[in-house]
Amino acid sequence: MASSAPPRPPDAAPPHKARPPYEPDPVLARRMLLTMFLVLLVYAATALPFFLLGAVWGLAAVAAAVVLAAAVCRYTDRLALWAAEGREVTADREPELHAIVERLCVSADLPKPRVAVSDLAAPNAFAAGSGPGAAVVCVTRGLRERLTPEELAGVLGHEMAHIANRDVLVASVAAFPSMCAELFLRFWLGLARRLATLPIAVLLAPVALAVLPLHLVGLVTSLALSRYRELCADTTGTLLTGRPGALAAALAKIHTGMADAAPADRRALRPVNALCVARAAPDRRRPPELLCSHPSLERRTARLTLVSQRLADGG
Amino acid sequence: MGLLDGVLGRPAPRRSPADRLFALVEGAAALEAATGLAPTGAGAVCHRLVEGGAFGAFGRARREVARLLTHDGPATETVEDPHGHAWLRMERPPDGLDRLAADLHTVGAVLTEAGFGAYLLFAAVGFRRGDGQRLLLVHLYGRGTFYPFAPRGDGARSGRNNTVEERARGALAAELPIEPDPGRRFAVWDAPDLTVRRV
Repeated sequence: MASSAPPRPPDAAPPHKARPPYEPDPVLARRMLLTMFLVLLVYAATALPFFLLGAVWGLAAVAAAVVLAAAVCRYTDRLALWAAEGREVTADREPELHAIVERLCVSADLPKPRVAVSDLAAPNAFAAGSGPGAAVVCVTRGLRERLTPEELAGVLGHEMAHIANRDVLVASVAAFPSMCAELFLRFWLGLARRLATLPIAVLLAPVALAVLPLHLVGLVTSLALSRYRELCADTTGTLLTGRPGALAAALAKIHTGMADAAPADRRALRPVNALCVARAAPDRRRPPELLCSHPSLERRTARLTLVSQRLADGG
Repeated sequence: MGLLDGVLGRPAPRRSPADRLFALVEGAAALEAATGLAPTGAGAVCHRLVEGGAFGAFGRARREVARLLTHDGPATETVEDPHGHAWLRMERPPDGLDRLAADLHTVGAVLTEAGFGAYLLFAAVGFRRGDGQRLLLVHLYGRGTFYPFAPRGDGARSGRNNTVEERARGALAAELPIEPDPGRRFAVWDAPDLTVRRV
């Protein structure tokens, strides 16, 4: 991110746009492509056994997966809102939230998403919906109580970046194979527990054995992808608002706030955890990085500092 | 922002087209002929307050704007809100709308030259009619389009007068690119009053 231009004498005229204002971050893009390639491999590994049964079976499995994925994407916003007890609000009820979101739409050139609030006391925010045309952003009551207006704008900028990047779609696609694998494993465990269905479970044991590594690999890759997307949304969001310092301050407050939040609130946010601005669990029980949906606060703050330096150098 | 940019999560903010503020002059004449709403000579630019303090690149660009604008005409006035937006308000003679357009253009040009073009949000010019009807003609920098915003009555956030806005759009359509998406003709309730002269 640091400017690579040689230092120029202070009295020289400013250079005329020596670099494009926003070059992509090549390292992050490369890692993301690698992760997406792994996701593709997981998909291929899922479809392969069906193709071994026969081409028709394989195509049928692919079609079923596409239909399911489409349904997940279509209803993800309603599901997320329902899970987090969010309700949509009009501009008359929440003029402040609507004004911030509208300005962010102007900056990002996006259609305006629906705005929702949740009565949870845990400070968090999430965006849901399959794309810019059908999106919703939701903030909790706890978030509004703790953050200054400027920090609130920073968090909403992060959420608008998720919408612009179609992160919900990307995350659902990446998590889909491992979700299906998990469903099958649960079904299999249910069979194995009952004596009457034990023979079927024994028959299906090889399938379960094959699905287990698929589930683990799928989970790890989708979590890795989620961490990259969070870092990207931090950068994109603060390049929209121009105030990375505000988002860094907000993230620090949210992290302490989530650690103090009531367990019931955290449970309510868990289904939408991957969509939240910060992890819906306290940091002292943080699993190793590999199993986290969000990067650590230190990593995010370090990246936001880079954006700050760049803005101080000139957009 | 293209689909690929989105899928790769690239920070690729929009590229602003050049502003079309000089079209305001013909637009204002057409608007006054059709609806009787006359320009007050007040205008403003709304931009984001990029962090970095007074000595950062953005602070320097803002000082440069102030220096260029105050060499003639009355001083400008800045209204900042706690969410990180600012309105830079200025007044020029009501009959010299080309000067107002040029000065509004200067603000955008200086900030764009400094690399902060993406942080320009709106430019707005005030109009008023004998019966008290107010109207702001708003320019969206990111889309290069205009739309009228007509508050109803005098109160803050008292609703928009759709009839007046519709007639204004009809009058302006031949002169200015009107914002085609009704969902993006955002209300600008926080704009400083551009429909009353202060000097």
